[in-house]
Parts: sequence; C-alpha cells; structure tokens
Amino acid sequence: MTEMADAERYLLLRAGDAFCALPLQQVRRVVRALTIHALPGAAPELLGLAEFAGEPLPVLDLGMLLGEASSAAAGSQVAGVTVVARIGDSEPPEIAGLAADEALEISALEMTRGTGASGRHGMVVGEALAGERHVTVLDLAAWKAA
Amino acid sequence: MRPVPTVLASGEEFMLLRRHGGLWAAPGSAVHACEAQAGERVILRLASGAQLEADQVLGMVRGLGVRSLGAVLRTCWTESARGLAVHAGEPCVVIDEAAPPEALRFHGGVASEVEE
Repeated sequence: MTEMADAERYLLLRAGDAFCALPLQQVRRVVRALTIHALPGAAPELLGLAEFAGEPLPVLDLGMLLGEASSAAAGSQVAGVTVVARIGDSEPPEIAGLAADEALEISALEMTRGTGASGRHGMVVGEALAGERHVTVLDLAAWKAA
Repeated sequence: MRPVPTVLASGEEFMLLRRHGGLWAAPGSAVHACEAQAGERVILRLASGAQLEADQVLGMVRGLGVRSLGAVLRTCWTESARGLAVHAGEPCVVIDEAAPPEALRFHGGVASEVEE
C-alpha cells in the first residue's frame, strides 16, 4: 500500500448535518472542545476566544463557514471537538480553532467538483466523495476578509 | 509548531476586568480614576476621557504577553483592541485605551461623579 502524502490527505469533519474535508497539512491538532469565551460584538461565525497551549485562540463555527444557515456546533451545548488549524496564508502562520461536532477520519479524496471560492470567507473550494458521503472541501488558506 | 507570538508589552502593568463574563485588560497607565458601585461593579475613567464599566476588577498584573490581533479577529470582530493575551489559562482582550470596545463603555448617568 502506498503511503499518502499529507498534501493528498484530508481530515473529515462533521458540523451538524454537514460534512467537510480539511487538507491535513493545514491541521495542527484536534482536541476535545475547548472552553470558548464569547466576544461581544463578534460576527456570528466567531464563537469567541479560547486558550490553547498558553496562547489566545479565536474559535470559528465550522458549520457557518460551510454556509449552513444555522450551526449545530454553535447551537449544541458543547461542540465535540476543536480543530486547531492554520488559517489564511500569512507568515508567520495564523492559528485558529474550528468548532465541529465530530472528527471522523483521515482520508485521501479526489475533488468531484470545484466550486471556486464560496461559502463564508471564501474557503469552500469544492466537493468530494468520501465513501458514499458527499463532503464539502475547505481550503483554510483561502480565507478572505469579506 | 506554534507561530512566534508578537509580544507588544510584556513588562507593562494591566488592570484585569471582568465584563459580560469575559476577561479584559486595560493598560494600568491609562486608568485615571475608578469608583466602586453597588456590588463589585466599578466605573473606570481612562486618561483618554472614555469611561468603562466592569462587573468586577480582578487586580493588576504585570508581564502579560500581548499578541496582536490576527486576520480572523480583525475580520470577525467590529471592535479594535491592542491585542490578546492569556491570564491564568483564560483568554483576555487587551483594550485600546483610545477606542475601548462598546461592551465596556459606560453609558450610565453618574459619569461625572467618578472621583479622581
């Protein structure tokens, strides 16, 4: 069996009813849901701030980034996991948390459809099949301010 | 590996405040006066003239490692701030004394009664 390069591998996540795939090379860590401190005045997709490894970490609602009208991760009492990931393409890299309900598996994927940059902040770049499951492919490096 | 943080004011003294459940830090040099209200509530007047309201003043702390706001915060938060820090395992917003966040601004009617 051939070893997959990180560039070809994705972390599959669930946020509510939505499934998505993040390039594994953008993922730093998956941890049990971090405690989030709400930030008054924040946009809905910014759930708040958490502490990770002694550093302040903004935590985003993965469901809302996928363009879901309402997010199970934000709506549930406790999101299952926080994915600590590199976001944007700045140097030094910016790290943010993504609140998701579940981290499912690491898988090699082939994009079935490119969507261009869509979704909130333009990070939805396509769709893929993971087994029989349709997943939305995100590229966190494509973060846009708008 | 974590990114190298930008430390903006590691030796400066800050007043730690609790407001709306969150932790905030005001530069100590910017706090001109404060007055205790009912309970633990405190009204602060900054040297800039802005007045802040805190549910609780936790004390002064020196040596906060202040990190600049990243693109996520600048995009998804309408307020400005000097940066972010962590104190005792809790994230904390370090306020910009010239433009404190709306969540801390005092809008009550006893502003002029704050004693210096």
